[in-house]
Amino acid sequence: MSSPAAAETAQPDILSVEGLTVAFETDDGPLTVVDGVSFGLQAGRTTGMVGESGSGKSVSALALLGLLPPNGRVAAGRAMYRGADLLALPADRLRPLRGDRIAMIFQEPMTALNPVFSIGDQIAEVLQIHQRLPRGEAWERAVGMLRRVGIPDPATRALAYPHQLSGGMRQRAVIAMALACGPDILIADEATTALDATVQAQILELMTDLQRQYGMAVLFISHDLGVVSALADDVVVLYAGRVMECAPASAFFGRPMHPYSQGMLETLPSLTPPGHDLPTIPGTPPDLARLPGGCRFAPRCPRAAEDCRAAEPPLTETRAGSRAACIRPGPDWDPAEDPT
Amino acid sequence: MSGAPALIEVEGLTKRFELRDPGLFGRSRGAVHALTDVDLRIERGETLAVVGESGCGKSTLAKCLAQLHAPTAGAVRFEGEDIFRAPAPARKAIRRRVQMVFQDPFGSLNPRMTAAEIIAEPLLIHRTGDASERSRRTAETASRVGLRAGDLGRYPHEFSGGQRQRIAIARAAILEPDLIIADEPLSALDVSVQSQILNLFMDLRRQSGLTYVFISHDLGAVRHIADRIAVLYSGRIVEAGPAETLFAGSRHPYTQSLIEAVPRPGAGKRLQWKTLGGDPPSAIDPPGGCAFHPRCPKVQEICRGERPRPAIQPDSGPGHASACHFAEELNGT
Repeated sequence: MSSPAAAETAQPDILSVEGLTVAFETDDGPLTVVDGVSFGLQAGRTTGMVGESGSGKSVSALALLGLLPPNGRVAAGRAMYRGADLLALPADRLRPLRGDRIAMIFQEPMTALNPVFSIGDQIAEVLQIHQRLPRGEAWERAVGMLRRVGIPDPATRALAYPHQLSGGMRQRAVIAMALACGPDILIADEATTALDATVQAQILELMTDLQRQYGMAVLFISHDLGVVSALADDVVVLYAGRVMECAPASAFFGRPMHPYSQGMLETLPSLTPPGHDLPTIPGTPPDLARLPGGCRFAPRCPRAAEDCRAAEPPLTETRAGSRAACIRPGPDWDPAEDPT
Repeated sequence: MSGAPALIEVEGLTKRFELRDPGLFGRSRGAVHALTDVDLRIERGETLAVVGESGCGKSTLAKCLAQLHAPTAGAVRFEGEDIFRAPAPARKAIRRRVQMVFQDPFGSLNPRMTAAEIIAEPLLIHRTGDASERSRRTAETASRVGLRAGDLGRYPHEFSGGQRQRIAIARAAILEPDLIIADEPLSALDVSVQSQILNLFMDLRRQSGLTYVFISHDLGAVRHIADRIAVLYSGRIVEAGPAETLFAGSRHPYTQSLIEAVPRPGAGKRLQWKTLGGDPPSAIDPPGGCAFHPRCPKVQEICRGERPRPAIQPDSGPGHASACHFAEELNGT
């Protein structure tokens, strides 16, 4: 492992999210679905954001891009990018960044593409809008992008409409569009979830290669711990709208500190001999409208005690570079021994 | 193989879906070759996993076994009796002994029935027991799958995904079938709930010696629960054998690529990928020769012209078969 070693020494965040809180207006009043989420992204590194459905992964990403649905709003927090707070920027100042400096890939490539324009047109349009390239030059750059994402015969394929491409090729086209302007930040939300295993591997390989070439920061949102393990330098774990743990990937997968992280990893079938009962996390994620008092994981936590139900534990450093929102992190955690 | 008939024996199973223009006299536009010439034996008490990518024919195979599709050719024998040539009463009797669990616990449960009604419905359909017998068995089955008695009067939307899948499993188990076919039963569930449901499947198997056909794209779950695995590609079985044999020493380049393609948690950041090029093949116009040849890293001339038959690998584990011209050379991955 050559390059990550250098990046291990603290690098400034290209995006620094602090206390992001998002509320949705519902029939029963406001519902907080993302609650005080903080994390940072660095150039050339991939942050894997993991969590179950409803944990607030996608909503966090949409909030950063100013793409929340009409009933959602940012209730608190900052997201600093090159001296500007993305969460406070007016729409007309955010729009030029989106798709240019900050790009996004969604789960279902068919919905991200316009069915009535060729893929070449759609990529060229991005370049015409953001970089004010003339039409001919934009088209040539679009063909070049299709070549870089591994679409064979790109000059001809640029003329194809989305429905004429396979799922894997469509996701390549979406990636070409996202990277056309050479963004600083790429947000990928379940970008390979809809793909078959062998096609998913192709797209993950492509993203690995492109990050090496372009050096952008990647926020990779996924529920799949295997995929996150293969791609991420750092991991952020969300549970019911809050960050439970935030750690370098090797530390997270090697020695997770939060009982929820530990539970998620222990329940994976690969760690238990075939045929034996798997460890389980009892119960189900909480209803956000009826959160338990104190730590929201406490009702399912094997280590929960009275003080866990008293107040929500803040995200605190458990060892260099790792933070967990837990009063009793890690089975072998001893505050006296901790170097921090 | 012993002389006793297998619980299920599939021979030459082929299913095509004709594509026609609309209208009574619409022109044929070819056919989707969903399954072609599939042979399988499922012994009583074993768990057979069927794996493969979308469009490979996994779900069609499940539906043929459950009599939800009639095959175009070939036979499915249940304890030696050819299901699709059996008289209607015999078919219904077999249907009672073969139950299904579907992927989506949101779409597969009737929203207007309570959990208790959903679980008990198979007893009504098969005219089993009187009202008190039915309610006793419903309560008993619900408790076996971990549902609380007090929740049985609720409707599906009041349950979480995992609880709904428990209802679907209870409904499948209440008739005490010999075989349960589960088609992607975990993939709609949250990660922290999947292990609960996987344990439930194993628990029911221990209690009542159930046989499972477990259809899944999740190789981690498959490795955990399956005794044997059949790998489908383009509607044909390309490799079959004991689960551990396939994971430790697959003899088909497709199976090898599939295992390689799925990243394992904790394996570390992958800087090198050995990925398979291309896409899964069209089912309307499958490639000639070996259907995998356009993507195969080990392709030779013979692969383009001649389709390999599944061949037993005598020097590997028992019952390990691979449909590759070069299976012996692929020894040890």
